[in-house]
Amino acid sequence: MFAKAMRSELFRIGKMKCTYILPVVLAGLILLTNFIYTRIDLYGLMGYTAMDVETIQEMGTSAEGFEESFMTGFRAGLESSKRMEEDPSSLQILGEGPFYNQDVAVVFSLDTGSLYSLLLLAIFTGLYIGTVYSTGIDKNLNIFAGKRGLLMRCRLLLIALYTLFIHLFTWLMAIVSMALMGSSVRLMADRSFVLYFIVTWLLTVSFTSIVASVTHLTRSKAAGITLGIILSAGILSTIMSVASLILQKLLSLGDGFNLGNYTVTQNIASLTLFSDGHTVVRAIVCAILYFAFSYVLSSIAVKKRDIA
Amino acid sequence: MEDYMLITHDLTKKYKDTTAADRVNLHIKKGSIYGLIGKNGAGKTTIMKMIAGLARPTSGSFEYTGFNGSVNEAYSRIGALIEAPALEPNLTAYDNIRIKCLAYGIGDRKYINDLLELVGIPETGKKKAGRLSLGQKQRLGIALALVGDPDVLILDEPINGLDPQGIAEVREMLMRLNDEKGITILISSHILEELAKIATDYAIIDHGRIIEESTSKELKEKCRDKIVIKTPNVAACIPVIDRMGLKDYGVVSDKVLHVFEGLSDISALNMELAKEGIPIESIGTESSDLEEYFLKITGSIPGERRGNKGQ
Repeated sequence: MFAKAMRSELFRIGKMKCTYILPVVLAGLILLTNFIYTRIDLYGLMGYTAMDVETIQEMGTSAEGFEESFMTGFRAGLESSKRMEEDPSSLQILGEGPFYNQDVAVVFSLDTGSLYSLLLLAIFTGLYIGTVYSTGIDKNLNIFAGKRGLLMRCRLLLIALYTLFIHLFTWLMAIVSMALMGSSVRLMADRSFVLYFIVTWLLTVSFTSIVASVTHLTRSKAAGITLGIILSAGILSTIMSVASLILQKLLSLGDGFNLGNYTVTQNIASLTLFSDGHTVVRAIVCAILYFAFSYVLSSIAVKKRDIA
Repeated sequence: MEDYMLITHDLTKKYKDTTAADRVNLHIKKGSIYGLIGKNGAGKTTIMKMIAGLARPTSGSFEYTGFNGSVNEAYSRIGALIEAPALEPNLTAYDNIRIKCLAYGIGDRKYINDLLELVGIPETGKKKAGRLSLGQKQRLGIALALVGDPDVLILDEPINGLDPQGIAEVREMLMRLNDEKGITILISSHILEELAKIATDYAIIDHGRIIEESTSKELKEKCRDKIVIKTPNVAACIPVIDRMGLKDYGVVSDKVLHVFEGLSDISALNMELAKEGIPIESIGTESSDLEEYFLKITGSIPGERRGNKGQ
């Protein structure tokens, strides 16, 4: 019965236009972003010399080097403004961007962290689940009248599979970007990349399950998609920061406490190929907890309520 | 005992303060065409939703005695068109049916084309369901209900939006399905005249309650043209009626008698009864079609509300 439901739903997904449009949009966004990072001479535009860039790369990541990096950037900015005033033609836009010589894995993590795919997956999930309610097509499927949970699980599994497809597609586009715009294609498919890929996929599945549960609860495409956009566009980040500060004061938490670290989207955005074990475990726990919570909510909504 | 397909036991559905269905007891015979008659908001759709598995009863139960398996097995043998057809507007008629076919394990293209042919929309081609006419959508909804060759068809206002020819075609199709495949059909319609042409059994619903359940034959009796005699001595009337050669009559209660023939000779009957000294409270002819009868029984004609049993 599950297999039949899968075939039916797969057919429905296959007939949805957004199934094909969203990857095209994603491809465009990734290519554009990667073009900026690989072929726009951002450091040059900011007036950095090759030596400045080296300084920033060497010292910018450590606390001790922060002041030095800042001063380098500040001096470069002044120098750049002065040069542009003297000779506007000296401005060079195209060239080697900061990610020109990077591995595909790093570019992939950059693309994943930009949350484009989350935005598009929110639209996909909202449309896919929301259509069930806007058309009432479950009324036709009496065969599942006594097994509504099965149909819901089938739909969640298909969303997870589509999410995997989008994740793989993002990686593929990172390869294409580097082939077209980078210095070379270096896959760097090592353990850290595999772990990063799996954890970010789990977080993405968790994110789509939140959108699905909101759509189930409200029976509205718009509600699910709106929430997905709010989360993926970081609209709540200010609220999160303020809430973190309040919690820091109220619960005497350390300055390092950030509520955003316990959200799915922030975990995807902040996770890197080089994240420490604690950050990775936190991301996995967040993914599992949010998924479980959303799954329970969806189950209650689907099983307890009338279909029509 | 009759061979029933579905029996409901005090089926009740409440939405907050509203009772949409109130202790509904239906007895749907296998192979029958069971008509649900009721005004808008009477509870027809709610009852249909519950027995199709789309809505959970607040209390009461139902059993598909026609199936040996569980209610889940019965759900797989039910085809339903309840309220507006549930269609994917961006898909063709063919694809809409294919979604359901795949869920039922049917992968045959011919099966889908045959269904479209059966409901009279074989020519819709690549036209999206959202752009079909109301009648075509309704036919597509019926086709969807027929996927999986159900043993029970639940159709809520299936002829809504159809033109007269379409109504006749759907009527013929339903009768053919009932006759040839033995499909039990539960149908509701506002067009009582149409319902009267196909239904073998009826339930009249008002304010969520079944106020009468009867066979087509019983209902026709009630709707026939007749002389209605109201007298405190019904027994004394019968020899007089027999003597006049009138055979088709029925005692409705200890005070009411219906005579279904000799309607043109009502004065002669009145005179004969008077001659015998039988006190007559009133005598007159009465005629009603199903619609009138329905209006009377549901109290839509003021002062005409009646009890459950007629004769």
